[in-house]
Amino acid sequence: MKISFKFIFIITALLFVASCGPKDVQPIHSLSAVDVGEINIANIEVSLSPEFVAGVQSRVTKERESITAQKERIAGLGKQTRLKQKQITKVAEQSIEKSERKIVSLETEMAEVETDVREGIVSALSNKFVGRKNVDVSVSVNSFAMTNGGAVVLIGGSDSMTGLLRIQDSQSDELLGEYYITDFDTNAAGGLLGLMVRGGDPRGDMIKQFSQKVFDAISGKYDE
Amino acid sequence: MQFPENMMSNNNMKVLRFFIVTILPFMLFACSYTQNTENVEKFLNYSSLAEVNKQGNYTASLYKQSQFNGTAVAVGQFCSAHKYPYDFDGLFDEAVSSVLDKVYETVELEMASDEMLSRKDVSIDVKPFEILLMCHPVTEYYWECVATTRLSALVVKADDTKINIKVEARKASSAGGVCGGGAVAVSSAIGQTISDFSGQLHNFLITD
Repeated sequence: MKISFKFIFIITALLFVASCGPKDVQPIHSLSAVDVGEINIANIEVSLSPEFVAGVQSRVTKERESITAQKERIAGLGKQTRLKQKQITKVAEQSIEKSERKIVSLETEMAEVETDVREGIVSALSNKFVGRKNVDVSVSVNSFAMTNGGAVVLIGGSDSMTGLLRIQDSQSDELLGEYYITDFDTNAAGGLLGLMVRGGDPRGDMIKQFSQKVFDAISGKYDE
Repeated sequence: MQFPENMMSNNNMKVLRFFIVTILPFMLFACSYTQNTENVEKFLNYSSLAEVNKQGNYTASLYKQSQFNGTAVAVGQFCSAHKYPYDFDGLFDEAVSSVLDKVYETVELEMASDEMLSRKDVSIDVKPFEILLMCHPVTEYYWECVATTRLSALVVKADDTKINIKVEARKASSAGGVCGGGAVAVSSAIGQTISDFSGQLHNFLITD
């Protein structure tokens, strides 16, 4: 049932995207009024959106609540037989361990996303814009979702990240350009083929593609 | 449509057929799906603002550079085919009117059509309203929509004291099954915007 649910979900997601005209870099405020040759990138700032942080914190809180519930379960085993106590304790401890690992993973991932995306964007933009007009580039990462490798083998899946790029005049803070950027990689084929298509470093590839789109947006590639 | 036997049991096949026959047409139709924003009111707080009732007869004008209605569309790839119409022109006027009634004992509000001709005891010049809707997957199976609204207005009193009110609200909600949740984010952000605007306007008007 779980596999069919995932299968249906992926088909649905693909239909949504395929039938509705995907736009991977969408200008909200076009940079077209600025001569690209004049741009000099003075600062690059990458942050996580408030919803991203709140979402991770909410998942961490749920895991902490689960740990508390399991500890209470262990503490309230007085009336059970010794064998039963041992069995329940073992299951509860495994559950606690799993939740603790999940918390570490979530917190590490949140910190790493910010660092890695910043590195990717700095690398994509370094020495590319050396004009006379100083601009600040900021990217707020809204989402970063990776399908785990096991799910890709079984049924496929998709990896995606989205972020809001803002380009502002360093002196006046005037907003010069604003773009919504999506990187969406589907591995719907699943199986070993899906795994091969996905490549050895899907996370790094996704950040690289996203950073390239940031560069393209500043270069004026997506302006109408 | 055939699937390997070990992948899909008969029951799962039935689920999938059911999905294809009933849900799929709806999903495709969803590209023209619209939803009105109805729950703005629950965010409005102007009824809780303090009654000041300054003595005398006052006049006020409200000039809006654009109407507060339109259609929000999500930027990017997710939910971008959907439209989220909003119309809070009446609610905004009601909020301004209520704030003025709280501050002044007697006040006459005029809806101005020209910024320069409308100077009264209180003149409110509202700049065009902006809304940005972004939807994205938080995890593989959970999508979220975030609406950001921006509103600014120049408020000038008869003694020429003025304030530039700037309000930015940001609200998130689950996108739901067919992106309908985007309307909740839009409504919530609009409600918060009017609420914050009312509060700042009230604070400015009660000071002498």
